[in-house]
Amino acid sequence: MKNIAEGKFVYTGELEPHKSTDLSDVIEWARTLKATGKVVAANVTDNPQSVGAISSLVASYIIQRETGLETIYQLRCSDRNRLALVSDLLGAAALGLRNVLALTGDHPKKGDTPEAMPVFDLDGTQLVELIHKMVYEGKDLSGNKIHGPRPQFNIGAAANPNFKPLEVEVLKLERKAEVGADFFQTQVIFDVNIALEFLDAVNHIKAAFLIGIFPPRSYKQAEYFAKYVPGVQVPEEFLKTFEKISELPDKNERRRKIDEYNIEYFTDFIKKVKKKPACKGIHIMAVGYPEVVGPIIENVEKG
Amino acid sequence: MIITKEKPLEEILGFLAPYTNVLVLGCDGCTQPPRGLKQAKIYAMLIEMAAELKQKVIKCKAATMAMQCDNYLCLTTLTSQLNGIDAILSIACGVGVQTLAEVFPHIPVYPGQNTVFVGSQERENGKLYERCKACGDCLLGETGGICPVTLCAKGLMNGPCGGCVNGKCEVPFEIRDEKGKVIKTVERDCAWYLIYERLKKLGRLDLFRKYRPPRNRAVSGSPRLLEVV
Amino acid sequence: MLVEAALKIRGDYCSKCSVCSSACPFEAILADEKTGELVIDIEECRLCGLCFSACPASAIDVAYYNRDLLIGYVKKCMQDSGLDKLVLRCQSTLLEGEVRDKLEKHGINKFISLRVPCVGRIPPEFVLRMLVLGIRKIAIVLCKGENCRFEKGSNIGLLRFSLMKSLLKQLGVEEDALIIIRSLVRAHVDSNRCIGCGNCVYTCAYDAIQLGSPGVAQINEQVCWGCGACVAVCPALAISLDEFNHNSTPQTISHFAKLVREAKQKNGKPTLLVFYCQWANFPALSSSHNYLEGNTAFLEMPCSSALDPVYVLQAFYEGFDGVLVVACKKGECRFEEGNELAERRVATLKKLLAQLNLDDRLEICFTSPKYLGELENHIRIFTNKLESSM
Repeated sequence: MKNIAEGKFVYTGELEPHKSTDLSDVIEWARTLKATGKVVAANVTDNPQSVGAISSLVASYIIQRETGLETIYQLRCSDRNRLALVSDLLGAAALGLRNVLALTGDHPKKGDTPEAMPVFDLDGTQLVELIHKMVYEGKDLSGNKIHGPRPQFNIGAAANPNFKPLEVEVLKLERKAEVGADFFQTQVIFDVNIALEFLDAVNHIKAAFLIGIFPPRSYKQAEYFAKYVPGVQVPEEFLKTFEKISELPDKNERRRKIDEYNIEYFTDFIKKVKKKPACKGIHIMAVGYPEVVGPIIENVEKG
Repeated sequence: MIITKEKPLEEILGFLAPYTNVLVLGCDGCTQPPRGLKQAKIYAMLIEMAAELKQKVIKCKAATMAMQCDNYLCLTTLTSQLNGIDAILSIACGVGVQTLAEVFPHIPVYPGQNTVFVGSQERENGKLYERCKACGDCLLGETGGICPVTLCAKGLMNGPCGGCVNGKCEVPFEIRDEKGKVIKTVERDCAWYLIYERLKKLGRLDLFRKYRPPRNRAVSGSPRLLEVV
Repeated sequence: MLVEAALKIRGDYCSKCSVCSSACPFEAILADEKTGELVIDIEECRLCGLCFSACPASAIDVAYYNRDLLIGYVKKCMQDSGLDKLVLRCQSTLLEGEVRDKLEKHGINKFISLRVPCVGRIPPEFVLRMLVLGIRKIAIVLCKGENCRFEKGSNIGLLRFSLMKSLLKQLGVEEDALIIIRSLVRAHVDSNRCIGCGNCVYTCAYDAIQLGSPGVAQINEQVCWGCGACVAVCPALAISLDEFNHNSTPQTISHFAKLVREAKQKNGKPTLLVFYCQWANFPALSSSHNYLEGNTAFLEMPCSSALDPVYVLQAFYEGFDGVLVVACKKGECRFEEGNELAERRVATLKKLLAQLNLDDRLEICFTSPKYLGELENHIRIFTNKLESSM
C-alpha cells in the first residue's frame, strides 16, 4: 500500500469466502487477480451482510500465503468486543497481514443468524482509533501496553459516496481520518458523476480514496443493484445496454459482449475519476468475475 | 415511564393454578398502558372466568396502590389487605413485583405483565416507544436530545453507519405476538440521521462532527447500586 | 322486521309549499322538478325535526313526536299509576342532582316522565292538552342551550314554553303549573381517586379538562358536554357522570344479569346486554335509560365513546351470553367521532376476550334513530347467532 505514498495509482480486488472450510475457489480467484500484475491487494470479507463465513483472519492469511497476493483483512464490529478485536489484530500482525479494513458491520438481523447478539462494543470509527493506537503507540484503548514489536498495519475504512445528504458522509470521513484512517474504499458506484462529486467533496481530507466499482456479470446483477440496493444509482444507459445484450440468444456471445461493455464503460469511468487528486485508486468488486479485472486495468493503462 | 405488556392469560393462569384467593394488585405509579384499579378489576374478572373454564375456582380481589416499588408504602397499605390471600398477581412492572415479594416473602407474588422498556406513549397513535436504556452515561447533551444508545440499532457513537438509507435504519422495529413470534415489521428512523438533522437545525454540527471514543461499558452493566450520601 | 324511516311526509296533507325544504339545514328534503312533490332523502336527514316544526300543514310525521302516541302514553301512565304530574324532557337531560332538587321544590316528587328527542319540537299546546287530561303540574326539562343537538331546539323550546307560561298566567292558571328547568350533564372527577395520568385531558374532544396542580384532573363544567369519553379512559375509575358511573352502572348490570339469568332458566334463550348510545336509538317513550325486554337488557350510554371495557367484562363475568354495542352511524356522531373511538375499543376488547374464546360474543353495530327497526334487526341476528353457537 506504500505504492500510494509513491504516487502510483492502485487497484484492489475483493474476495468473498463462504461458510466453509474449503477456500480453493477463492484461492483460484486470488491467483487470477495476482496474475494481472496490477492488483496490488484484495479484500477478504468478514461475515458479509451478516451471513456467517469462514474467519476472515484465517482466510486472509491462507490466501496471502498460497498466492502471494497481499490481502486486506476486513474486520467488523458486529461480532466481537474490543478484547476479541485486539486479540485478532495481534494475531493478524503475527500472521504477516499488513492491511486492515475497519468496519462497523451489518446488523446480525440482516443475515442468516438473526438471533445472534449484536456486539458493536466499538463502531467502525472507534476501531480505526484502536488500530491506530496499537500501531503508533503500542497500546490498546484501555492504555494496556503491547509487549514486543508494534503491529504494522495500513488502516482502511469504508466510505459511501451514495449517502444523502453528502455532508453527513463527509463529516463522518473527517472523523475517521482524524483518528487515523490511511485509506478509504468506497461503496459501489456506477454513475461517474456521483464519483466525481464525491471526490471534490472529500478533497480536503488527508487520506487515499479508492473508488469502488462493480462490473456486473449479467443484466440480472445490474438490475439487482438498480432495484434492490438502496442508495446505489445505476445510469439508464448502462442498464439498457445490459438489457439489450441479455436478449442475445447465444450465451457465449452474451458473455463476450458483457465483458466488452464492462471494459469500455469502466475504462472511461476510471480515466475520469483518476483525474481527481483525492482518487488514489480503484477498488474492483468483481466477486466471482476476476477475469474482467485484468482487461479493464490494461485498457486504462493503455491510455 | 416503565412500559409493560400484558402476559397471556394462559401463562398467568399457570402461575395461579395452585391458589384460591388471589389479590390482583394494580399500580398508579406509571400508568401507560393502564395498570391501575380499572385494569386490576378487569384482570380479576378475566382470571376468575378463565379458571372457571378449566373447572377451577380462583377468587380474585382487585386493588391498587400508589407505587408498588416503594417498600414502605407496600408494607403500610397492603398488610391489612392480605387476610385470606394466598397469592398476589401484580400488574405493575418488574420493580413492583420484586418489591412486593421482598416485603411479603411469605406470600407468592406473580407478574401479570412483561416489563418491556423505559419509554413513553405517543398520544396521537397510542404507540409506545422505547426512549432510554438507563445506560448511566447520558450523552443527550451532544446529540441534540436524541439517544443513540437506545434508538440506534447498533448503539453507535459515530454514526450513521452504511446501513442508513433515506434516513431509515437497516433493521426495522419488530412487532411480536404473545408467543414472541414476529408478526410484522415497522420501518424506523436512523437515530444518527435524526441527530444530524436536529444538530443542523440547532446550528451545532460541531457536535455531530466530534469523534466519540468507545464507551465504558462497565457503567451500564447490571446489577447496579447507587449510594446516596 | 322491515326497517322504515322515522320521518315521513303525508301526501294527503302536504300542500307542496316546500317550506320544509327551505327549512332543512341538511338539504335532505327536495322538491321533484316536475310534480313538485316533496321527497325526504333519509340518508342526509339528521332528524333535527325543523321540518316537522316548520310545516304549516302538519304534514310531516316524526315517529317520536307523534301526538297520538305521546298523549296516549301519558293517558295510560295516568291510569296505571294515578300520578298527575308530568316531566317532559329532552333526550339527554338528567333528572338527578339540581334538576331533582328543583322538581321537588315545586312539589314534583312522583311524576310521569316523557322523554322525547328534542322538547323544542313539541308544540306548546301540548301543555294545554295535558292540563285538559288532568295533569296538574308540568315540568319542562331542557338541555343546555349550547349543547343542543337539534338545531337550537333547546332555546326554541325555552322561548315557546316561556310564552305558554305567560299565557297560562293570563288565563288564571296557577303559577306553578308549568315550570322550565335546564339540565346540565357534566362529568365529575373524584379527586381522591384521580392519579393525574392525563388520559382524560387528552381524550376530551372539547378540551374541557385540565390537569391542575398537584396533578388532579379538573373539569370545566361550563365546557363539558357530558359525553363520557373521559369516564372510559380513566384508569383509576375516578370520573363519573350522574347516570353513568362506577357506582350505579355496575349495580345496574348486576341487577339485570340476575333477572335475565332467571328468565333464561325458564325459556332457555340467550341473554344479551345491549350498551346503546342514547343518540343511536331512541327507546320509545321509556322512562328509564336502562330497561329489560325479555332476555335482553338495555343500558344507555351518553355516547358510545363512554363504553368502558370494565363494564363489558362485567357483563360476561355476570353471565351474559352476548354483549352488543350500539353506536351511531359513521358521520352521525353527535359528539366528536365518539363512534370511531367505540369501534376501536371494541376491536381491542375482542382481542382480550379471545383469550377466553369470547371474542365473537361481543359485537358492535351502527344504527340511526331515523330508521325504525334497525336495532331490533341487529339484536335478532345476534341473538340467533348466539343461540346457534350455544
